[in-house]
Amino acid sequence: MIAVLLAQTIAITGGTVYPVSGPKIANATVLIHGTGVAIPSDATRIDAAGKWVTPGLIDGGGQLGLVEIGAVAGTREASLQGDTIAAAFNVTEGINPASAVIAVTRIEGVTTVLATPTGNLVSGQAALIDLDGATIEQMVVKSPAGMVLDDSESGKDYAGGSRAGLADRLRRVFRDALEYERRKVDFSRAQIQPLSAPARDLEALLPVLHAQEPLIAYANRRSDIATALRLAREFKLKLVLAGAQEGWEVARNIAERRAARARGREGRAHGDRHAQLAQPAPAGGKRRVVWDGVGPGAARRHALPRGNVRRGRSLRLARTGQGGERGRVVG
Amino acid sequence: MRTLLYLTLGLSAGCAAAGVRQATPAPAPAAASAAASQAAAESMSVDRAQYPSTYRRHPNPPVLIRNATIMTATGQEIRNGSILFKDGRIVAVGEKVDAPADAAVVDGAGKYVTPGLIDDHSHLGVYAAPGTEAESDGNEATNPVTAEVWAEHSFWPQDPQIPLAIAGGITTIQALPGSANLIGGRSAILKLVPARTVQEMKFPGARYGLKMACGENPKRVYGRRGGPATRMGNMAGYRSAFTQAETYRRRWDTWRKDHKGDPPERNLRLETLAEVLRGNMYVQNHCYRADEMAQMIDLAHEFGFKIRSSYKIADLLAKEGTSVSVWADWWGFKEEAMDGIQQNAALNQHAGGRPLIHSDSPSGIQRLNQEAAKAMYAGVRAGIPITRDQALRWITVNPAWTLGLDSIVGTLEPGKMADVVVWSGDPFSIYSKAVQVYNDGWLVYDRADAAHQPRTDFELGRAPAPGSDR
Repeated sequence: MIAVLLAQTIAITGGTVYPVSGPKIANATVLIHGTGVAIPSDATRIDAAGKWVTPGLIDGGGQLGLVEIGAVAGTREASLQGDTIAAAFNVTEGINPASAVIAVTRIEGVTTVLATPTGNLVSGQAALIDLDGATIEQMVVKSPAGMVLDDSESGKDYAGGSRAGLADRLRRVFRDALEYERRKVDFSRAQIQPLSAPARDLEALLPVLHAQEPLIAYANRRSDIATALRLAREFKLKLVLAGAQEGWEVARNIAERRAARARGREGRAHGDRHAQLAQPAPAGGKRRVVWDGVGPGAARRHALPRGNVRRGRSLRLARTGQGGERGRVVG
Repeated sequence: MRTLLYLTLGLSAGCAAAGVRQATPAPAPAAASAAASQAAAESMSVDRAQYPSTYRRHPNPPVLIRNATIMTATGQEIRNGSILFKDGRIVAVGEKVDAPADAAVVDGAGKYVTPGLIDDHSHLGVYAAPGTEAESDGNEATNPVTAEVWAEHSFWPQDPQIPLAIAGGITTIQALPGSANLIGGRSAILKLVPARTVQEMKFPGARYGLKMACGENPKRVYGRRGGPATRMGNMAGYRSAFTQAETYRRRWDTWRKDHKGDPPERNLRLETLAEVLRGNMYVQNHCYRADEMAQMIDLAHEFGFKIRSSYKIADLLAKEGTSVSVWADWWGFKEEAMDGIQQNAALNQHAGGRPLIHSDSPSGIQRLNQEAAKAMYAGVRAGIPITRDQALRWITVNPAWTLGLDSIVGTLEPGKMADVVVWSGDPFSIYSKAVQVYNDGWLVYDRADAAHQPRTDFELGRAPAPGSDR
């Protein structure tokens, strides 16, 4: 299906376009999989007069694709039983492209979801998937897309029943992962103290500990959010807060951390996007949205340099002429 | 687990409200048996008052709301209309209504007025917040048939979810036991007003409902605990319970006539079921699959009570005079809920049935107007011409009918109880909020006045003060 669509050039014309990366554009054209600014004669035209055109909606966390019917165990793939630190568990091969839930969700405008594992203390690796495709390979946008931590009331059950125990357990696991990385040779010769998780799980945590992958911490209580922020600071992690029901109560702390990141003190600006989705006002921030093209109408109205308007550029990029990375909406 | 236990109706499904519909409220058990009491040598527990309502109307000045759009749920939408209520009764509704000198006058410019909303399927108070084991009082999951338990004996009037539902325009609820059991127990039909005791909330004159459940839930709960383990086991469970109740009813009815010998031994389980057989109680039946609802209709025929509640058998339900109580768009969380569609309420309306939208959720009950709006637009988009008045009925007079209270509440008509909601705008808009809620004429909620925003004791010391950083 993807292959067929890729071959098509589609022009959505006449609608009010909300590029998100910039102000809305009236009577605009969105060209998908075209080249240049002209609408090719063989393009499929979609008349969007009187309608709004937005990026596909993104659900930043859930079990879509991983759980079809919550009450039917045979359709649940999101949780690995019996592995408290399930860091090596990547949900991708559990995705069911035939799940009835996918199409029903897609018709409501959702095009991309983060399929997240659940359960345990470290639940495993999430995958970003498109709600389109007959195979897992066709659906996956990015995998792994983050490491999920259950920093909540249910997570503490896997750490002796105390939130303090949860934080302590995580610190030990994180330190052991770094130790394991430094002393792999000693590990293979069994010249190392016993580690607090299997080697494969420690290995899987390394991209998180090197801030190459985000830690997606499910935390709702104020104190749990504070724990996630504290751990992220200590280990210099890219943090995504998920759930964050009481995030509004500590919005300032979340925003401060984000600001610190943006100033480059703690690595790259990246984190807390999920918190923004759940609690949009306080945390603020922009999502990077890259469209598959800006059409000639927009080019005319915004007086864009013609050379900048091409497939794979957002309106903003087309304005500045910088970048031009092609792709989908990426968070 | 708890969530799954007390979730009830699917889109494909609905509550079968069963029981013989009668125009007048059923006599209280005490009154019904007053004669028997005198005849007997000594009075018995069954003859005394059974947990009576102590509800009293709160005294208020008359209220005139003018210049508003009045949606009456009787087919009218009056622009620039007025409504006057006094002593808990609606006095007049129309374009021009004169106010008595002592009336409080509310300017309704730009606002909408509807009847108080009614949720016929709620677990407020029996599954109270914050939802710990300590407040988990909704399923007496110790036996598949517990007709002897009463929801009002679990109901916690300090449930902090209650003020939130009031702020959503809800004035009457049916608080139900959960759906773990085949027969879960008696419901409580309550005025949603701030109160210290459940008795102070009990809707005066309302008959009880009986909670029953079909399908997966009883199977899941009892499958490894002695059964039922199958749907046929479920049916056998209802049938044997009602068979015993038939015998019980006959013994008592006979004894009441002739007073020969000792009275039959009192059995609380069978006493409740006998009341269903006598037509004095309605059945609220959790049921998802259309074929199972048809089985429940047959069950009702077998035992001589009449079902009044799925798009698949909309014609059957309309023929039976059955109402159908549905969600707008919950679906898919279990196998029997996979067949849900958003057009369920609209299709039932189209077939001549009597749909209603229920919450079954402490969150959904705060926005029942939006749930009705979603179901209305789903129908309209599918080409089913649902009117605004019909959709309003889904959350007002239709649930009132199901509870046997439609002659008292559910519409804005002179003589009806003054359960009235003032909305900031069109109640079918996601942006509109209830700004004032009157229950029996009492201003129980005012969005602009903290003095009329009830809080429960539970919230003391917990809720952040407005504007605080915490």
